[in-house]
Amino acid sequence: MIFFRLLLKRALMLLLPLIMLAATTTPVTAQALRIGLVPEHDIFTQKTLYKQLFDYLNEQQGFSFELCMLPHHDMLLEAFAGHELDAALFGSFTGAIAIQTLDMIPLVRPHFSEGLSSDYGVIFVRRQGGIDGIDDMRDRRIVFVDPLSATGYLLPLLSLRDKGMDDYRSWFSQHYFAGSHEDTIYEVLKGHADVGASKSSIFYKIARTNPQILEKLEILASSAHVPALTLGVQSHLDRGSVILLLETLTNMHETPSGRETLNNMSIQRFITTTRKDFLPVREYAEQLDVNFTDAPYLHE
Amino acid sequence: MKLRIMLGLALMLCCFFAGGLYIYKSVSSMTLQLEQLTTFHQVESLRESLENRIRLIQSDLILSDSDRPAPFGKIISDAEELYTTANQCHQCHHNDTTSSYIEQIGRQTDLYLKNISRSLTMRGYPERLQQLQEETYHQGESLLNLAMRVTELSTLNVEKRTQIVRNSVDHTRQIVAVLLVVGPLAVLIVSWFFLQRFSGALTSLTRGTEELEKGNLDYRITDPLKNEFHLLAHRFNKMAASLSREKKYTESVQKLYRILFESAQEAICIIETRPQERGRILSVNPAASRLYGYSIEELKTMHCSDLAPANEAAEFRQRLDNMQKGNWVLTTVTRKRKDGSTFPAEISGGPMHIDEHTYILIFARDISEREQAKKELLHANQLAVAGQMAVGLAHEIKNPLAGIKTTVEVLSADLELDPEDRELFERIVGEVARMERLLKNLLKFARPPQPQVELIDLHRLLDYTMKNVEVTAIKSAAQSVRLVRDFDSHSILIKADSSQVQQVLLNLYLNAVEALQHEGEITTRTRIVAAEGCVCIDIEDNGPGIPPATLENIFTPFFTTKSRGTGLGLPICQRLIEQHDGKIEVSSEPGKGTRFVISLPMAQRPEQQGEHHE
Repeated sequence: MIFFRLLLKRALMLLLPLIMLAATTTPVTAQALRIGLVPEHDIFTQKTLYKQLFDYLNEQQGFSFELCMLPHHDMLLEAFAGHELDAALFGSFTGAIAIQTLDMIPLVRPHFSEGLSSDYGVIFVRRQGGIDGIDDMRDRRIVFVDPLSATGYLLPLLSLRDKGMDDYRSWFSQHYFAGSHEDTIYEVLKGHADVGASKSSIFYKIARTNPQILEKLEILASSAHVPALTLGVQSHLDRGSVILLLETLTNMHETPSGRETLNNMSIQRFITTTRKDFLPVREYAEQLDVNFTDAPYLHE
Repeated sequence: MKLRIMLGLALMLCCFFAGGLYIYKSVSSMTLQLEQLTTFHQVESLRESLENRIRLIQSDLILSDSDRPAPFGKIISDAEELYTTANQCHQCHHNDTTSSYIEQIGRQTDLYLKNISRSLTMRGYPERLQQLQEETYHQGESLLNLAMRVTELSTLNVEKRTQIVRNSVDHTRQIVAVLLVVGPLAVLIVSWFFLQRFSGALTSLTRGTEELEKGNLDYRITDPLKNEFHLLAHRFNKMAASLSREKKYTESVQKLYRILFESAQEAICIIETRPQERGRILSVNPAASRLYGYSIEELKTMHCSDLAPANEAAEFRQRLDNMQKGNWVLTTVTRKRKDGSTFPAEISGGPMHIDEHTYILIFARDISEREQAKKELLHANQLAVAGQMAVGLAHEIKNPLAGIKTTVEVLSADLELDPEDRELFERIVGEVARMERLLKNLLKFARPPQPQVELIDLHRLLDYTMKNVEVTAIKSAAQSVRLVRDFDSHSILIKADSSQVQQVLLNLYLNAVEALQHEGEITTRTRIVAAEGCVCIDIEDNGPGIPPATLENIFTPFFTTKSRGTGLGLPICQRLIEQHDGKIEVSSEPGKGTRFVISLPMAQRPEQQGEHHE
């Protein structure tokens, strides 16, 4: 019985996005699919990291892709809203916004080697930096990832509020956005900021290559889990192409070349992502009185 | 020589292979170096491209704060190009110094790109952003300096390597040029060497064969030839010596046969058998020339049938056919001389094969003397038979005849007979007397008396005999016959029986007088033939002559044209002369006269008499 339940669940998970594609779709032509991407690492590393994934898809199914790096999350949404992008890798916050306001269809998200398919935000400081708690952070400098980053902004703010901070703009002497999770970490590490907030997966990923991270930085707080970076597509895309893309991504761990690509990205496999997975993010936003429909690009 | 040729060819082949290999290796090396040079220039271009990319990004960074900042996509694209270019540099092979720089470039590029990324993504903190941009800009300048330094180093390196490659190319070109010049030259020299060896030897051998062709069989190759040519020259010399020996042997054999051919007493003719020239005389020996009276050259232009009398032409052709068929023919024929005279000849002939061609070889000899001897032998035999018969007959008849004669004479004297009967008795006695004379002559012929030889003066004997003829025969007949004396001016002595010689002369004169009938001239000449040691007595009349048929049998016993002749007169004369070791011959021409020639040996040679005679 359990087996059948699991099977039914997986089938539903696969079918759900397809049901969502029931509306009129735009066929994928020979023109390259434009994939939007915002940096988790620096722009170039991020592009290089994901290029191999789309090279694999190209090789397997003949899709051609054009990776479009965008420096900020709002630009990603703006480009997606303006149909400059056919698909994009959304963070959980931007993903939730896109689902709600841009009718984005989430397809897959990574299932990391550590067994997780979600991320959470971490708040970190330099060890011996004199910051042990929220009170020590007063009048210090804090660096976020992006105002539309769940793990690099939204969730850390919730954590800090839970710890007693009412308004971060007055709590900290300086707040700014590094643009990527990696840069956020290095801003704190190099002393340009005192407190930093970033995605846990990136934090630990960098820590694996740079021992200074764990030696010199200390995580003070962690947030709730949210879906990891998710590939979402425009709802008007050709249904068949989307299904093919979905199947290829969810099955790529079953092929040697697919496994190799996944390994290079520290990903075990891709799993299907649904709109439902983003519902908690919306709740977190609401807790911070963030209205998804306030974004200026939504009104253009 | 074969070994040397093989070695020479192998050496040349090795040289070709070595030269080819060297050229191939040089060209390959040169190509590789040129490829390297091209790569260096590409690297140089890459470095320049790297510098340009950095400058471009630096410009982008400067413009980022201006009113017209560079588009984000362009900066990303430029940065990616920079990254790609820097990585391309890193992939190249360099020396340690350059590699160190390249690694620095790689590291600094990574940092530079990260800072660019930060500069592009950071918001909300202008001071920090400016600081970051300045830091990034300085980083870019540092990277640019580093790239320029590397470019300088690379340029130096490229120049050095270019020079090295150029030197190598020059060196290779020189070597290839030398090989291209020396190689063919070496081949030419080796070929010339072999050609000299070959052509020298071949010239020597060719000269030798030419000399042999000219007939100089004594020519020998003396040039110091080598190896197989030496052996060939040795064999050639042996062959020439052998040919020389063979030639000498052949010449001697040929000479021998030539001598045999030319000195043969028999006439030898070689006759053509080819249809168009059948019977033509190809070759004759001097004996043939002597036999037929033609020169050898004349004979060679003649047909063999020209040597036969016309009446034997058919028989001659039949005989020639027989010989050509392969039969050897031996026969007696009549042949004709150049002067038209004929003679009996014994010929033997048959086919002769030389080099698959058939000729006819004919030997011919004049058998006139043999025939004459045979005739004389026959004549002698006839005489002997006749003599024996005569002697026997004479003995048997002589006495009865004497009795008959005596009885008839007695009866004629005793009986009274009528005149008619008496005439009959007298006629019987006369006929018996004639029979006795006949018997007497027959005995003389058969058993001529032995000559009583004495030294006599021929002219006195002739004169004496002629006077007797004038007195007895001519006067009595009252004929107008003159006896002319044409004696040699010298007196001639002969050893002979004067009565027998006189009997012979008398017989001849009487026959001549009888032949002249009423008038004529009988000339008597004497000639000394010193060469033969004899004297010739010619008795010639100008009478009507003797017909050939008669002349042929004139010395045959019992042959006579006279009604009452015995046919023994001239045979007796011949026997008497022959008893004196002499010879009597007759010649006559009807209507012109007859001539008898008597040859007798002289008792003394004219010089012995103190004078010379011809």
